[in-house]
Order: sequence, then C-alpha cells, then structure tokens
Amino acid sequence: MNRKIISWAVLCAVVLLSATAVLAQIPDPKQIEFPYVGNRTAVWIVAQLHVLFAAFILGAPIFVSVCEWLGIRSNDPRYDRMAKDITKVSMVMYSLAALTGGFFLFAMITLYPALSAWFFTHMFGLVAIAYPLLFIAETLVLYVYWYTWDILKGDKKRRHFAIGVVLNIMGILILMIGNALTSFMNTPVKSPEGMEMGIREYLENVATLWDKVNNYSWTTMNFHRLIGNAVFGGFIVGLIGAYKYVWAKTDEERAHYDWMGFVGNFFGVGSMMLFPLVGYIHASSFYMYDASLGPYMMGDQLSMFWEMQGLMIGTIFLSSAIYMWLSMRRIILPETYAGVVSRPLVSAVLSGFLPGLGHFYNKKYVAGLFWLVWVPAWAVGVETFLDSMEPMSGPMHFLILLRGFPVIFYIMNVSRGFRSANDEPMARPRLLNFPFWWFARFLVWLDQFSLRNVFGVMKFAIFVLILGNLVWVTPHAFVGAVSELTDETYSQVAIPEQWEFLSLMPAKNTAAALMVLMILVCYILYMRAIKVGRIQWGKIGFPAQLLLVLVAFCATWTMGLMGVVRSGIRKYWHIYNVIPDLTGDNYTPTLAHSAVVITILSLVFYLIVSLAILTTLKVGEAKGKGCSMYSWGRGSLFCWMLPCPRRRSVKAESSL
Amino acid sequence: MFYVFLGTGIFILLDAPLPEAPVGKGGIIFVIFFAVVAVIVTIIGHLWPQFSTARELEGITRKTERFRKDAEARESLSMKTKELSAKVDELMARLEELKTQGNLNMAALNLPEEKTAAPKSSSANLAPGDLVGRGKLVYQDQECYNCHKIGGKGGKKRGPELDNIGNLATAEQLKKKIFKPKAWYADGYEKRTKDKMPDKFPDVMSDDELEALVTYLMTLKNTDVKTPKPVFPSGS
Repeated sequence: MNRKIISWAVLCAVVLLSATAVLAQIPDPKQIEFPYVGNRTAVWIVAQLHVLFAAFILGAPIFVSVCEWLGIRSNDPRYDRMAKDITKVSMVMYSLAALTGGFFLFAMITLYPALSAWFFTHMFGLVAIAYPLLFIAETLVLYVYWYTWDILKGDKKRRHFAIGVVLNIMGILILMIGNALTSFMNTPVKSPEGMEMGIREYLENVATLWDKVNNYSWTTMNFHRLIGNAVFGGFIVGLIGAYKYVWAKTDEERAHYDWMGFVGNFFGVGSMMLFPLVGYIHASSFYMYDASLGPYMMGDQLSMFWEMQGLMIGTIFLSSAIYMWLSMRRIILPETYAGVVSRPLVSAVLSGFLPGLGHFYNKKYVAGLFWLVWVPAWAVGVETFLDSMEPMSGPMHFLILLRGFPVIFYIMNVSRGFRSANDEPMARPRLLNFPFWWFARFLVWLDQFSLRNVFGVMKFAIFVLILGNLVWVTPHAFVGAVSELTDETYSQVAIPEQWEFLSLMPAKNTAAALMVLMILVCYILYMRAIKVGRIQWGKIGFPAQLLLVLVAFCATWTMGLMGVVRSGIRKYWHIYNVIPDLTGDNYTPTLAHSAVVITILSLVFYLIVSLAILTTLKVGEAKGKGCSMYSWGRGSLFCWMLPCPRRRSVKAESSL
Repeated sequence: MFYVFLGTGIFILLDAPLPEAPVGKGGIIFVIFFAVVAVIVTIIGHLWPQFSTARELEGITRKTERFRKDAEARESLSMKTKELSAKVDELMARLEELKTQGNLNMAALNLPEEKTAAPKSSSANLAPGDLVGRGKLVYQDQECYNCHKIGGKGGKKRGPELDNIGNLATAEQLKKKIFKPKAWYADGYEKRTKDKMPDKFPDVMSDDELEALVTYLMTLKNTDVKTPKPVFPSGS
C-alpha cells in the first residue's frame, strides 16, 4: 500500500514539476486570482499543510532512531515495535508531504510567478537541483530503511540503525534547504561593512549562492526548526499512543500504548525544554539583522500573537505536568529511593550546549563544535573522576580548578567580546556556563528528596507553572498595534502602573526559566519514581489520553501561529527590503483571522493524520483476514483512494 | 481572573478519581474534544485586541507608492525606448541619405545644447507645513516610534529621544544619519550592537520621504527634553 501511495506522490510531483516547467515557458504569464479565498490564503493553506506533514516526517525519524538505539541498548522489544509503528505511519505522511509540497510549488508558480521566478533565477542550484535530488535520495533511503526492517535483525540491527541515521541526515539537509529560502525572505544578505551598495544591487551583482543561503537567521532557524520538529514528532507519537490506547482490546496492548504515549510525551516535552532558549536566539537574530524588526514583532503589530503563543506554550507545559501527575498516580512507590540523575551528565551537557549554540549563532562553527562535543565529554570525565574520590583530597582541588577552566575561558571570551568575520562586534552570548554546575547540584539534591514529598513538590510545580504562564503573557498594554495609539488612548489600554514590572523582560525571562525548571523538576521526580517504583502500565486514566491529544493539537496550532508571525515580520515585502508585495494581500492578517485559518488547518491536518494512523496501524493488526486494508471498518481511506487487485478479488469471491 | 479559575479548577481536579476509559466511545469523545478545543482557541484568538488592517493598508499604500511608480515607470520606459529606438533608426537613415547627397551642413542644423534638468522632486511643490505633515507620516510609516520617543511617546530606551534634535543637528547631518547610520552616533549610544539603527532606509525610502522626515525632525526644538548630542567619529 505504502509503495503505491509513494508512487502516486512521485508521479504527481513529476506532473506538477512538468506543468510548472511548461508554465515557465509561457511569456509573461498573467496573474491568476484564486477563487473564494484569494492567492495569499490559498498559498498559506497549502504551505502550512506541507510544513506540518514535513515536520512530522523530519521529527518522527529522529524519534524512531532514538527508539531504535534505545532498543538496541536495552534489548527491550517495545522500542523496536514502537519505532516500526511510527515508521509505518511516516510512510503515509511522507507521501502526503510530497504531494502537498508539489501542490505548494504549483501554487507558488501560478499565483506568485514573479517571486517564484526570482527564486529560480537567483537560487537555481538550490531550488531546482539540490532540493529535488535530496528528496529523491531520501525517498530511496526511506524505502531501504523500511524494507530492511525485518531483514536487518539481531547482530545486523546496528546496520539498520545506521540507515536510520542516514535518513535523518538527509531529512535535516532538506530542512536546511527549506530554511535557507524562508530565512532568506526574512533576512536577505546585505552588503558587508564598507561596501556602499544597496541590498538589491548587492544581491543582483555580488552575493553568491552561499551568501544567500547563509543569511542572518539561517543558522538559528535550523536549530529552532530542528528542535521544533523533534518536539512535534514526540507529541504526534503521544497522539498515536492515545488513539491506540483507547482502541486497545487487551491489557497487553493497553500497557504498550500507555507506555508509547508516555515515551512520546517525554520526548516531546524533553525537547521542548530547549525551545525557549533557541526561540530567544532565533528572535535575537532578527534584532541583529534589523533592530526595527524586534519591536515590530514583540511590541507592536504582532505583539498579541505572542500573547496567544504564550498561552499555547503554557497549555502544553501545564498539560504535560498534569499528564505526569496522572502517571504518578498509577505508580506504586517503595519506601526507599535511589538517585537517577547524573550530575556530571546534566552539568556537562548543559555547559557545552548553550555556549556551543552561542558560538554557532556568532558563526564561529569550530568553536561551537568544540563546546558541543569536547567540553561535555571532558567535563563528564572530570566530574565522574571527582565523584569517585572520597573524601576531598589535594588533587581534587586541582581537578575542580580544571573543571573551572572552560568557565574561565568563556569569561575571557565574553570580556573580549565575540567578533564577527568583518570584525564587527556581535551579540555576546550570556554567561551561562558557571551556574550550571550549581544547577546540577540542585538536581542531585532534588533527586535525593524524600519520595513521600513527591506529590507535594509536583503540586507546587504545577502551581508555579500556572503562575509563570500568567507572568509570561502579561502585556505592556492590551492593544492591537502601538502605532494606533494616541496619548489619550494609551492610558486606557495599559496595564496598571504597579503591575508594569510583570510585563518587562526580566519578569518574563524569570517566568520562562521557572516554567522550564518546573517541568524539569516534574520529570526528574517522575523518572525517579519510575525507576524505583512499580509502574502499572495500562492503568493510566482516560483523561491522560485527552491531555496527549490536547498537547499535540496545541503544538500544531502553535506551529501555525509562529508561521504567521515569521511571515508577518516581513511586513509588506515578499523578500524583506528587496521585493515588495504589490498585491492587495500585502497587509498582515489579524490574529482573529489567523486563528480561524490555523484552527481549520490544524483540524484538517488531524483528520488526515488520524485516518493515516488508524488505517496504517489497523492494517498491521489485521493480518490473515483477506485484504488487510479492507478489513478495518467499512474500508480505509487509502483503500478507497487506491483500489487494489486484492480487494477486487475479495469482491469477486464474495459475489460468487 | 482567567488564571485564578484555571488554577482553582486544576487543583480541585488533580486529586479527583479518574474515570474509566469509555468502551467503544473513545473516538466520539476525541472528535468532540477536538471540536471543543478548536472552538476555544478560535474564540481566544478573537478576544485579544486586533489591529486595524484598514489603517495598515493606508500606510502600505503610501510606502509602496514609490515601488508601484517604479514598476509603472519601468514599463513606460520600456515602451518609450522602443519608440525612440525606431525614431533614431529613421533619423540615422535620413542622415546617411543627406551625407551621400553632399547636402549636410552640421552647423546649419543648429542643434540645441543638451540640458540635463534635475528631476523635479514632488516635495519641492509642497508648502513647508505640508512637508512637516508628510514627515510625520513618514515617521509613522517607517515605525521610528518603536525605538525613538517624541513627546514622551515611543520606544523604550532603544534609541534616543528626539524632542530637541532640531537644535542639535543640521538637516544634512540628519539625512546622513538616516541613510548611513554609522556616520555619527548619539551620545551614549556608541556601543550599541543589538539595538543599533537599521541601515535599510536607503533601500526603502525615497529622497522625497527623507526630505519630508528631516523637515519634520528639524521642527523638534523642545529644550526641556535631554536629547543626546551627536558624536562624530574621529576622522569623519
């Protein structure tokens, strides 16, 4: 079935590409107006659907590979079963991503011919060669990955895992190409310092393809979307678990899908904890590019979009915490405890990750790699060695000094100020390294907290999450756009002066950090409880499944909302400061209108995903019952779409 | 208030007994749940304050006027070029014909000297009051208020207050600053990196708009406000 669908997808993509190639030959093609919804909304709908499917097929393989690796390491067959289930769904989603991608391309070329032509002219190698080739290559690897699942077993399982890694690398490369185009539209490369040249002239005559790709927000967008896709993949896996849990017929099935929902949510929220940070860094790249974009985004016309985003993220965090609370209620806890948090690991990873990201942001890739790879490895070694030494002796002091070396090095770098290639001062990454050591110590303390108080701590964490979200969404003023205010109207919409501190960045940063910390606290307690207690898989309540659904829906909705914001900061430009949008649709859609479109898109996406999940996974279960696709309910969507010979033979048999 | 209810509700429900999974009705409950969540988020999206798209479109029309005119001008120029090219060909053919006949006296042609008159700026036709009004619009359209304050209204500490800029800088200096932000700095803002003034304005503003904006800024002479003094880099 999957082979058929993918064949259809490839065929459609080829037809669409041929059609667009033919269209490109027509001299001066006339602008077409899309009926009812208009050109912009039509492209918006297709693009957003494509992004959602693409996010799943990029996020799910990351999750699948992690599961496969965990399965290899732990010899737990549940991981392999789950990874295979998700890959099966991914196959259908992959074809839908390809179809919507082709549709999107077709819509762009017909509805926005000038803009499409500009991209084909200026980024030909990327758009017309690298992107399709990588897509084809990824299709082939996906085929190999899927069809070798049952062949490469046992000792050969690592080879299968390696194919999964290759699949992920290709997915990430495709993501990076897509990001190159979208980030370029937001922050097109400008002439370097000292070269007195307008942006259009520079792009036409001087800038290379790499200059255009490696624009100001490309690197940060890559990080942002990569983590975003991992989060999304995790939540969709949670959704699959919820569906399957509800339809499970045996206790064994219920236990498995309860576990699957837990792992998906764990992966999603675990990745999401990095999100506020990468989000800040990504937003910061807009400030760096053009300082006027920041206030427009956060304080002016798009400010209420961020209120909505805060609400959605807050809901995701809160739902996850309550999900963990419900999970905890079915764990039988012992009297004793054992620590599960590895202080060296937490300390090392955090101390390497954030500065590493900072270096990448400043386009100091070698230094970034150094921090991401070498520093954690080295720090784990030193910390583990320190932990093994009791009591504190002379050499240990020396080793503590060694542990502090990266911190000193980092302080020196910060004090000198990071400088870009053209010696222009860049944003200084925050001094984040040093507190991590103390933070890791706090985690260890928490880990050794008495289990009897676990529920009290979790309740407190949920309380702080609600409070943190309240602070996070506190605006300066309840107003659609600052530019519409006058002196008289400002006082009517501004929050009372005594509460104004809640709307300032220090309060918001504190709230965001607290929310992440509280989720982390919940997870640590939860993980510890799982490790030391006896978890009754399959006994989690039905409300927990609704929470998994809610989290997945909110994640999808937030992705759609952030897509509007990212496009919105270009204002009336197709490519910021380069190609103005001179159509009648060049205004920013309001939050109300956006909410309607995003909700409809999310529902359409979930309708398709739900059918894909139920169809593909029911097929696997219904073996040996004639045509497997036909055996579920009144026939699956894909069975209806793609009549197969076996179904015909079943019909013929029944008519006899 | 919403959060008070939310928090109270959650804390009441946290310890409530868990309902059993409904047999055979899970799908219906999921569909209803999706519908309820969808309606709630859509309503919340409508509850937040909305900006006026009509007002935004007014500004966009002003800002894109230049690009529309450019596009029209390019099209009309292309047409004219074709016409002129045809005429030149015709004249050249005629000249060649006269040359061969030996009747050509260049001096007798009495060709006028080529004059390259500067294109008339549309702002040149405006009265000073109109120009200041237009400058205010440019200030709004380019969203200068997001970083600068005038009359106590505007951005918070990103850029200097401009209430007294008319007493501190000349029109030429202001023009230079807007189109080339690193030409000089306001005192105390030399080391800004993240909040530095954008260098996009030559790409997005016409000379007329610059003229209008500077005319407006030059009217700002409120000595009660401490607008920082310009600092010129050494050697400039």
